[in-house]
Amino acid sequence: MKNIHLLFWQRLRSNWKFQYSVINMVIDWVVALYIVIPGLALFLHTYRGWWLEPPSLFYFLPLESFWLILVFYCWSGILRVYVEEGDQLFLYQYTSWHRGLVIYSIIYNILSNLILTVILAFLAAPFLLGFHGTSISAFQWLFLIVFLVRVIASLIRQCLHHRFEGWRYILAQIPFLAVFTRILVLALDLLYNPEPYILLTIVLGAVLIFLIFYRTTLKRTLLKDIYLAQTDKMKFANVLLMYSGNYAKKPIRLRKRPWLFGKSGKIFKTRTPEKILTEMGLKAFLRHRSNLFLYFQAISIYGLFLSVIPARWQWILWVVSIFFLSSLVKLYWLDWIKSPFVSLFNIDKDNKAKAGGQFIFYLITPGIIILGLVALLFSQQWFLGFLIPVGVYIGKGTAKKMAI
Amino acid sequence: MDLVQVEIESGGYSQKDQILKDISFTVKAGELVGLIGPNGAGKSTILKAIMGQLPFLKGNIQFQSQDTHYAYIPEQPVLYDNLTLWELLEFAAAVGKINPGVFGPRALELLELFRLDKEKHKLPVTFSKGMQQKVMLILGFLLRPSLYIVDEPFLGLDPHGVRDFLQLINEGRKDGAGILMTTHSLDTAEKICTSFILINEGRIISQGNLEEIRKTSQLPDGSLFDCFIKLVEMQR
Repeated sequence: MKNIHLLFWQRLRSNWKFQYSVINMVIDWVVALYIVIPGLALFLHTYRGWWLEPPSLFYFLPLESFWLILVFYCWSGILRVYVEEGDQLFLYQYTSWHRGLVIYSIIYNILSNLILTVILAFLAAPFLLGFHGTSISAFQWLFLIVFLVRVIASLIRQCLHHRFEGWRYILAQIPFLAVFTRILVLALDLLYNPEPYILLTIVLGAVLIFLIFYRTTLKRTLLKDIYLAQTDKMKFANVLLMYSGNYAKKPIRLRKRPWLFGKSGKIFKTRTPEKILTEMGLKAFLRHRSNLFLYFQAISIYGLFLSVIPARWQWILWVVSIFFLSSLVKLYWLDWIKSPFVSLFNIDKDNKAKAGGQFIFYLITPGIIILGLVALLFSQQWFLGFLIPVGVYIGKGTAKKMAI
Repeated sequence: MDLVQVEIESGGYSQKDQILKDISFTVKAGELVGLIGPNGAGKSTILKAIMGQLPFLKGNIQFQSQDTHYAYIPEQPVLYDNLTLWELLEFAAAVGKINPGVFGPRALELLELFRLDKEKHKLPVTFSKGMQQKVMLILGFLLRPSLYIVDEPFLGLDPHGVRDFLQLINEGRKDGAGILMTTHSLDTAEKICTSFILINEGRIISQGNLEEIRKTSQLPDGSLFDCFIKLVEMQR
């Protein structure tokens, strides 16, 4: 590799190829033809409808609470430095190359966040511009602030990762989260009085420049950067790779004790083989923060989707969500049961099937209840509340079938 | 009593590339059989064939009975990254249908023996390689099967670990277990194994106890190391 520009470009292309190959494994032409394309068409039709006739969600959601969505968006990103495990052999000595990769990664992070923020603005436009009648210039300033906050948050979270671990890392984020929440609330308040946006933008710009300088001068960060890069790379891919029966290598781990059940605590009192198999599977899932994040992200997106569609479709699509959640959770089960460690053992087929059914059921139940409550809240058909326990029962049966 | 009879006419990872040829041996109760060969000779491939993991196999692997259980201790530690050491042991015990009342004391005994009792609530993926190797040994010995299949057990083990491993092996043999072990450590193998299978390029070049190996290699007083080198050269 002749220089750092080529190395970074090669890493980036390799990452795009990898993510594309993972998606390609799952979304074959059948899925594309029957699910993705119609889904996209339905979305575009619904989006157009938002401009012509605002959905019930717009009336339900006050403008002041839009900050929740903005905070969730801004805090969901993290800077990824494009280093790999093999770099341990060389980059310890060539720190200038590591620094170069950090700088290019930051530039790429800024550009990709710009694109993501434009997409968010596109989605939010019917609500802000159409429904609430905000001016275009205020709208643009707002999303410039959102873009800056997201980039700053991604840098801060990365820097915090280098200082703290585990619960300390979670605690360390709270003050920054509080500050950014205040900034975003303020940014929303300024929609009808946009003059101070310029000052806010300048301040945030200065903070960003300082953070870039700070991050690029941090020393001895290679090992942690590798760990974060692997975690980020496999966050989405891991689940999809299991779908195709491939096992994905886990990122290198730095923490000696798990953050949950730190003293190998029991979930179930009964210690039968299938209960223990279920318990270990659940612990393996719950201790992987990215699994939890992906799971709740899927529920949040589905919940948001349920909230904006017409009431007559909400309960039908809630039932569909039981099968969607079961399929998603089944991937985590396969991740566990097909792992090289578990494959060392000869497990009784009946125990495996029972454990799989229990694992899937325990994990889909919170999602079924949450989405049922969303459907209840937005349809306001309170008499249909009894369907939620019925849904849990259907979920149990579905989980059993999925595990076979 | 034969715990396993291995008869492999040919076997490999692809139809075209058959690594193993005419492999035939048994492992009896109480035996410690050393499977010895240079890098790439086919030792691990033979172990995979015995465990039914080899994609292409022409031959027969016959266990003593359908209920014969074996424990496989791989060369490279294979662990699950989100489970503590204790949880890994509990999982192995549940799968091996060990009574919960028996599991606790047995697990603690093994952890104390290998000096990992203070690490039981930690994640083994953060251990050093040697400690991870000990975890694999503990997982194997926890189940007390009738057959142990061990791939390069001495790699990464400290001297105490080697001593403890040998102690457990001898206890297992006294209980009637058989052990099939691959190793490059010929000096240790010569001291502890009851019989040897020497392989090179996927074929057996000699097998039997040390006396029989010496006779085949025509080195009456030769060490296992010398006999092995001579036999490989004779094969060439």
